Amino acid sequence: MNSSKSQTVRFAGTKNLRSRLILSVLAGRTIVIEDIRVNESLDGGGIGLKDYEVSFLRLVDKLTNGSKVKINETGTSIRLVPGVPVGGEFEHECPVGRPIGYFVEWILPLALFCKNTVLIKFRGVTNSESALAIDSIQSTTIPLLRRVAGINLSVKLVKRGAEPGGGGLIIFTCQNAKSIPPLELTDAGVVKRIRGVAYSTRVAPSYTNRLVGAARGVLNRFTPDVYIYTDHHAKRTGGESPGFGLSLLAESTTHCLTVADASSGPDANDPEKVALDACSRLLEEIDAGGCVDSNHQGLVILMMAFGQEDVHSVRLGRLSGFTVQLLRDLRDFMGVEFKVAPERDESSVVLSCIGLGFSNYSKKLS
Amino acid sequence: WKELQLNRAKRKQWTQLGLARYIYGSAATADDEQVEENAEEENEEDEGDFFTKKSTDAEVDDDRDLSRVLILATNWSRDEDACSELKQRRFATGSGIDGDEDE
Repeated sequence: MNSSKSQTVRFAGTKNLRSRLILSVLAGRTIVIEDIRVNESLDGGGIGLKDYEVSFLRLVDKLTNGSKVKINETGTSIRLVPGVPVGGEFEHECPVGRPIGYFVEWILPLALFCKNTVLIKFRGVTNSESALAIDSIQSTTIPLLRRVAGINLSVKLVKRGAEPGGGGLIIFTCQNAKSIPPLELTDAGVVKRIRGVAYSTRVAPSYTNRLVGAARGVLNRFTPDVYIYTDHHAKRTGGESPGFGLSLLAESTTHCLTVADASSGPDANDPEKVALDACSRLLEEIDAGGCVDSNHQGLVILMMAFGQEDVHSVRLGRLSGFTVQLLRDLRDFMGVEFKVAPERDESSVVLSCIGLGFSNYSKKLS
Repeated sequence: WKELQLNRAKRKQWTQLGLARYIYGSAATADDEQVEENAEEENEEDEGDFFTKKSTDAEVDDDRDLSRVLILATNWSRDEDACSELKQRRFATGSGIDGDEDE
């Protein structure tokens, strides 16, 4: 399943940590990451790995068989000798520093190539500013992966958990895929409708109505087809902390999905402000163009690189810094280099590559 | 006209060269010094056109490891011109486009 290359790949810093760890496992190459927050005075949050990064490493370890993880005493250096992705059923407690979306986002590509079906119960924060909200993953990431990989996967929200206390519960299930068929996503179309979810936990239900009202005030200027659901969770399913937020989804005439979300936090306790943030982010994503929003650029590029030996192409809007680094990492790990064709009139860029022909041997044998 | 076409073709080549160079370093292949010089200029332009603000090294926050658009370039609640331009460009308008035909 893994590449025959055995050289160690070395990096410095925690930039793109999750994608690099996943690439290491999929490529079967040992990864060494050094100089992790060595300059304490600059970071201000302590040297070395953070608890959520260690938790992600532990999650990768749980999903694989035979992985060897070595972290030095100060946590400024890690070495991962990857094992075989096996999957399975287990629970994972996510630190409250990052929401569950932080973990699910980059576990998805690994779960696709596991030997067994993956079923993970995640506990922690479900909605936060620092990663995709679970609602956004449900509405966009899952349909996108179904479209790209043609497999069955789901994310079920059982309990919501807002920052800082968390207490949410998510059940993530993912079938394994044999291989990724050729992808062609080059027609972005125009936005035909906007949908969304306004959620609240342990606050008055009127907060969701205020979110919806404020969002409609901005979005109805662009299209009349706006429908935002409300989802209020009281004590029993509302987690440990009060909070609220909005997840918005724009669907185009060619079924391309663009997502953006915003949630309450220390700096945003006003529903109108949160709604305006979510709307602005969605409009910014729509303005950038492309068939995939900035949240999902990396995932699609990874799928293309590991796809069947055929031409894969996708039209993207402005490339995020994360995506640019991932393109470089894919070249370093797998030798996959994308053809980049910017189009000035469209303000978008078409990325194409020949897939590696990566296939799940365990699926083949079964 | 031919000259114009040629310029357009060259411009496209420079643009591609610039973006590829930005991503992959010296991977691009150019046999013309002039093309390379222009590509560098294009490269500078490209950073504004094709990359989100946070893509520059100074603004990428390693700690957060984000792939999200959080820095907004336009005030979408106040900038009427930007809104009407976006509506024309990216939103379905009129009765010709209806999203419910496949439901």
